[in-house]
Amino acid sequence: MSYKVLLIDDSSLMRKLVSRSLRQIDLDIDKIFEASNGLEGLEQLTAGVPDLILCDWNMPEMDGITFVQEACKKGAPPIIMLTTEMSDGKKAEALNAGAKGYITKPFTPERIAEVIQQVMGS
Amino acid sequence: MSYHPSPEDRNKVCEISQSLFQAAFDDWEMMVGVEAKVARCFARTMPFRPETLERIAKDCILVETTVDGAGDSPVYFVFPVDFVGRAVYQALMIPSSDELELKREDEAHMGAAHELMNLFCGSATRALQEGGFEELRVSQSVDHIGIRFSPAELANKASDGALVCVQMDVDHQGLAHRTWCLLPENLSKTLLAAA
Repeated sequence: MSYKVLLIDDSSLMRKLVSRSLRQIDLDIDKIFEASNGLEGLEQLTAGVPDLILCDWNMPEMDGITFVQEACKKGAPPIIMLTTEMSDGKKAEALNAGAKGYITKPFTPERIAEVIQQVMGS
Repeated sequence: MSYHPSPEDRNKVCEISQSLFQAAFDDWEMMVGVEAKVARCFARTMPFRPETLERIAKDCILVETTVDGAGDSPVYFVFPVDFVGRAVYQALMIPSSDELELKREDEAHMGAAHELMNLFCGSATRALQEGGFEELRVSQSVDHIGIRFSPAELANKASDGALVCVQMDVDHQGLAHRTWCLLPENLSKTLLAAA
């Protein structure tokens, strides 16, 4: 299966780094969509129909946790939080809100691959 | 200034600071291809006064954040503008033939610099936790990380106490860059007590 991935991060550098990591791992990528905040992410959800979403936490306009809550109401595909927030409390908050995986920055491509495999069940 | 850590304690603070910086540089290398290595490390204690910051951080970028678990103590990382500029250029894959200048008014430059420092703090936290300081965390909160271009912007943060100033010479792209980790007295005491 080839994946359409939606990346949501307000940092263009981070989007570039995550894209690079996704292309380094053994994952068949069809297309990578990008959004710079949760609101743009919600728009992309309806426009692009991704198979997987990687989402930052701290962003302007709409933060990642609000995006997860809103996206889950719309029946979103699996969402993995990709964030600098390291605490167990934040991780639990994200998973309770509906995120399926949690990756802290800095990350390795291998770590991204590991969590995607867990989340996508392959 | 009454705080005078022993040479042994200064060495310990050096080791801890070096471990934070090297962990961060290792992660920078892995994620954005910026190779940097801490070559030399030296600690001295100075009064925490505006003139101390001026002396250390002139023509540098100061990164200010807090250490959660240490009474939210501030901690300061100091980097030459040229060093951060080179790292940002590498991270953004800007051709090195372009004139290399970190522009404060350039959103892409500052966004990349902020993201590099954000990663730096995350790596520093990991190094602290792997070093046995499980309760300590270098804050990556956007509300805490401040990038300053002038030590004057930190002048109001000075206090009556001491500042342990750890100087680290960093090799990057064949150049030596002088960086600093500045630890207020209370943070130094917390680290030494837990070491």
